[in-house]
Amino acid sequence: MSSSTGLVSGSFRDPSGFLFRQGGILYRQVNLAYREHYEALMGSGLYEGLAGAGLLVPHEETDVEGPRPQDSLVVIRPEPVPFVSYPYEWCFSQLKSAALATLEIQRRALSFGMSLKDASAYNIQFVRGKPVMIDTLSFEKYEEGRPWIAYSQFCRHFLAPLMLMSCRDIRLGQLMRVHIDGIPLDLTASVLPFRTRFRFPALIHIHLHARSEKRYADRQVDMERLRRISLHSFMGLVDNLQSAVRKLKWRPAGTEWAEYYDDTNYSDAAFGHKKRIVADFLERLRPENVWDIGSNTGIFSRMAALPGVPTVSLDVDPACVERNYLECAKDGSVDVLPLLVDLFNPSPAIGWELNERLSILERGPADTVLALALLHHLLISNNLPLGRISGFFSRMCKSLIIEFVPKGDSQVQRMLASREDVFADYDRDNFEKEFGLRFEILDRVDIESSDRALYLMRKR
Amino acid sequence: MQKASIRPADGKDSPVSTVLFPFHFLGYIGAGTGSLIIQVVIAALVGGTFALKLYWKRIKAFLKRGEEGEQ
Repeated sequence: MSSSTGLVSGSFRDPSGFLFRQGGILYRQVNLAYREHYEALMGSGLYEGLAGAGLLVPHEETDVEGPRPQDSLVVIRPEPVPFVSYPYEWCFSQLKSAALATLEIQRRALSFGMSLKDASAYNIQFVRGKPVMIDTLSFEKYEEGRPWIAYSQFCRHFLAPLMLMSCRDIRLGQLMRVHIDGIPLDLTASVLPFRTRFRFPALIHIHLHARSEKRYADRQVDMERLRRISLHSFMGLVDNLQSAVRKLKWRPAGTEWAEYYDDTNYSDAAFGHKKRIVADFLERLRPENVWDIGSNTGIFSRMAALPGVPTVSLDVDPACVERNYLECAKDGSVDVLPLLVDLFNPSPAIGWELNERLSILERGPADTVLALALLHHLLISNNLPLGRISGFFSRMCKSLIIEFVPKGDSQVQRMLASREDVFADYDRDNFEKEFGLRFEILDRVDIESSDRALYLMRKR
Repeated sequence: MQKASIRPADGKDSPVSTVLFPFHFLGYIGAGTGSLIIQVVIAALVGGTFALKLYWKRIKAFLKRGEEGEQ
């Protein structure tokens, strides 16, 4: 989100520069104060190396005048990121990839005589399936002997959530949403299982690190008495962190990926027909971008993304998002961005003035939303009236492909088996009436060998 | 030598947090004294292992070249 002056609201901490929008284009002003470091980045070959390897967002220098020209060295135009996502929306492997990308960038920077001055997970975005550093101003000239300023931030933003997710509970990744500058290490140390004290990376980077932070929190220390960190030891630290992150794994407890997802409500024929209808609707819409909400393992997201359409694939289940991400990486579905989002409690706006990180709605609207096999979950699991659902969807998209699942459906009956049926108005007529208030219903196709139907709608 | 101030974990500047360090090394994000101290210790520890790892890689590469040469 941008202010009236065009300044991007989340870009205010670093005195080296800031982001702003002008004429709908995102620019970054590089301040004069950053000259030495910017020139080193551009002149040393590091920028070319990182941008060429897809690790740093490429940019062009422009003649545009920034909002604070008196401070400006140059205004650059970074390549746009199709969809901005946040670490609390990433699955385990996405966060792990982002951590490894950050460390690889730091390793390369050191070999060019530079270092990362911050290691925020928010500096990484996924572009065409790969983690990319988007903050061009995160580099500074390395001074031999100097420690890594961003070490603590790296541990809080990456190592802590990854270890909590891997060693304790995958859901603890959501602590990143509460702690915007990373999960405090003392909290991480207290939540991690006792056995992690006997694992070298967790012992040193989390447990002893947390203890040291507490011990020296408010003490005077003569840092001169400390040894300098040689470049070699610095490289060793980065190498150790790389190896620690690589070893972290997560799999849904007691399951194999192949058997985790088993939506058996469709016969092969019905599922094939559903795919053909969705493909036909998408062909008719030719959307600029798609959000597949309640995407499960992303079968339909991949279908939507096939012609090169940027597709955000949202699901509440960490295992589904993980599998979706790994499968997209494997089959090269680079236009799909799987994200962990709970529609009952979607990503809110957070941070200073509630403007630093945007809510999921502020990052829209999507051109087209796919809401397949989702309606009954919203209605029954969350007691949402049809009008509230259509209202939410109308804020989210311009066109909608939605599946109607009738009350007689076996999955709906399973959901109703253990609760009172208070959904008297849940039928096709009411669905069409409520959605028809906000959307124009363009088409409806019944799915063969099923009681379900697919609708194509356009926002009024 | 530059006199610098390290902000404690709570982010507030206080007289006791004023320290001396041979570099102007404090970033805009606040590195944390305890974190810097443990980092020096960890870097010293892992630096040695890293050296061994590099030498081992070189030995392996040398042996591999030797084998390829024989073939």
